[in-house]
Amino acid sequence: MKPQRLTLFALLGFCLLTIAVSLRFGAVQVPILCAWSSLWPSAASQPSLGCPDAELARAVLSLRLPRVVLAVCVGSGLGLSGAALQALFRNPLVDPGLIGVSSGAALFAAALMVLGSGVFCSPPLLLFAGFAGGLCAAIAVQRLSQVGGRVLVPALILAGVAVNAVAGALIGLLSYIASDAQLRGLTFWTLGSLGGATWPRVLWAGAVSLLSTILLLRQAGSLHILVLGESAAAHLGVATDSLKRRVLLLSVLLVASAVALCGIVGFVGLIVPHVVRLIVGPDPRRVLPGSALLGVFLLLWADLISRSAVAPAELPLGIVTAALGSPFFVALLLRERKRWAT
Amino acid sequence: MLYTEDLNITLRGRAVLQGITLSVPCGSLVVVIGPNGAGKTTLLRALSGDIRPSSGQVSMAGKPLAQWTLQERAQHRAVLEQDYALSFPLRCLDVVLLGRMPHQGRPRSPDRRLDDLLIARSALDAVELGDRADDSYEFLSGGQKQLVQLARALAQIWEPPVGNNAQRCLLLDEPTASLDLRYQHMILSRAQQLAAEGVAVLAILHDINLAAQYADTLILLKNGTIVAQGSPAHVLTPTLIHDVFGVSASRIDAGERPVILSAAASQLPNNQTLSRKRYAQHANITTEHPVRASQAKGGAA
Repeated sequence: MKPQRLTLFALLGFCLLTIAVSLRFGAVQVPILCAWSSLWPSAASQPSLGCPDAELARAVLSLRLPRVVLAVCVGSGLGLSGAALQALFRNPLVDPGLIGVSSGAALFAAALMVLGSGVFCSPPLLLFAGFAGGLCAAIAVQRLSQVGGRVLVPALILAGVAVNAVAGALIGLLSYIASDAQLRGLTFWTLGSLGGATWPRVLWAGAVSLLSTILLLRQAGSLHILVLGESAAAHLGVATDSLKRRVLLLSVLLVASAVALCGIVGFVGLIVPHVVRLIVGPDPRRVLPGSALLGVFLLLWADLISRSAVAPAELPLGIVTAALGSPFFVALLLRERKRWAT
Repeated sequence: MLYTEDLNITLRGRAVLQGITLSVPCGSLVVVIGPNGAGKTTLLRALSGDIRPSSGQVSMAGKPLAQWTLQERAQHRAVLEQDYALSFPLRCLDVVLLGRMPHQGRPRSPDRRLDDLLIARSALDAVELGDRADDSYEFLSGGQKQLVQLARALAQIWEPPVGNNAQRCLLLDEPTASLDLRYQHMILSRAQQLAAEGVAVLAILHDINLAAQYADTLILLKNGTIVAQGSPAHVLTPTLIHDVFGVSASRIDAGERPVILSAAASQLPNNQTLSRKRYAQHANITTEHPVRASQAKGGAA
């Protein structure tokens, strides 16, 4: 087997291991055997399998497990969409946050939370609002940065700044008019958190990300050809326009569902594909699945830190990923700077 | 074979190609020459299907280009353009392997994969860069990059595609532009060799003598129309060269393939700064200083 493929399998192993660890640790320590046996409801009712009591097993099943599943969905979604967008825009510095998709999704979801009454805040509606906002932002940014069918990267970055600024201002306005209770929820949510994981929400997120992930992974070969540029890709049989539409739509879907369910979690979409590229090389056919796996890995650990560091309280997840991500971003800048200078 | 009939292309309101009828038969090397801005690259892009003709038709292997899917086109014809910038660093071998992507069906068998690898390596050997296979494409010289891209195009049409239609085409846009003398000849010999294998090859060249030396058919393009078309000896006459390029030339006949000696351009504009008066005629404006003119008017009022 090729070493790069071996790396992907190793990554998968690490992810499974981290899932096990995530179920074990937290505000309440759960014996590992109990944590695992709680996955089977019939087994969980028997205290002999390592659980001190059945209550603990139920707590794992209804609180900790959905949280871990949500982390898997969100982590893989953010990592994968980051990798796909970087390949699509042919630029390694693109990230769903940078080009405004995250804040667009956040704006629409926040508007629904503040302006709509409680009835409207059901998971599918939030998901849809997030998707609409992310798509609007992505289309606006693409229109603003495109001249004659080519995306100009400086214009792309500036358009992202503009969209982020508008969305930021409007979210600010929403928090100004929000009631105290809404404000608490909103603040917590804009900083990102996996705390709101309940089974119905997780199932929605899981269905959306599973479907988008499968469809996006199928585009990896075409994204690989895009490394040569759009016209050369067309000469090699890639329908570039429909590829762009498809990848953008699926990436927005992944990011929007992540934002709608746990707020803005920055930097995962940027750093994960970079690390994966350092390990397995630049081919999207390996970078895409690798980024999904490493995204899961990173988010599970960030969530572990966020709920263990100041237990029993929780650090917002966005703070942890930003603290991990920004030094990495600076290091990346220093490295890329040398390439631009030549 | 590639074929166009009465092809017209209008871009941004300007007629770039008019009434182009040509054919690139299988087994022959057709070279297009002409001054800058004559529409050579537009012609190549129309033949590859990048630009839709405003009227007229392009067909490949007897079927209109519009009826081919992009993937089918890619299985039958390869294109070499002038500049390629990679968005992510790849090894040379990986760049060449991209040329095999149109032939990959699902699922990919290990056999197929090995074949692709062998073809890619052979294509790199064919441009004498076999020893650079594992080097990063980024760090090659401009000419070597061009050669790797040629190898990529060669790999794309290395063998006749399976199925009942086995025709292959190769389109080259100034393949010799950044290459030294030896590589110029190497590339064109390769093109000639491919033509001998039955591939329809069309190349745009700037060097008249290279064109004369390698072309089976020469097409002379000026202002979007075909001025002359035929064997090099037939097309490359001093009068025609003077008419098209504005250069006085003499010709040495050595067998079938003529050699052209070109002299300085016959009419060069003088190297003078425009006088105010002539600039005004050009731009159709007044020569009076705008501020002074308005002051004079104001004073009069």
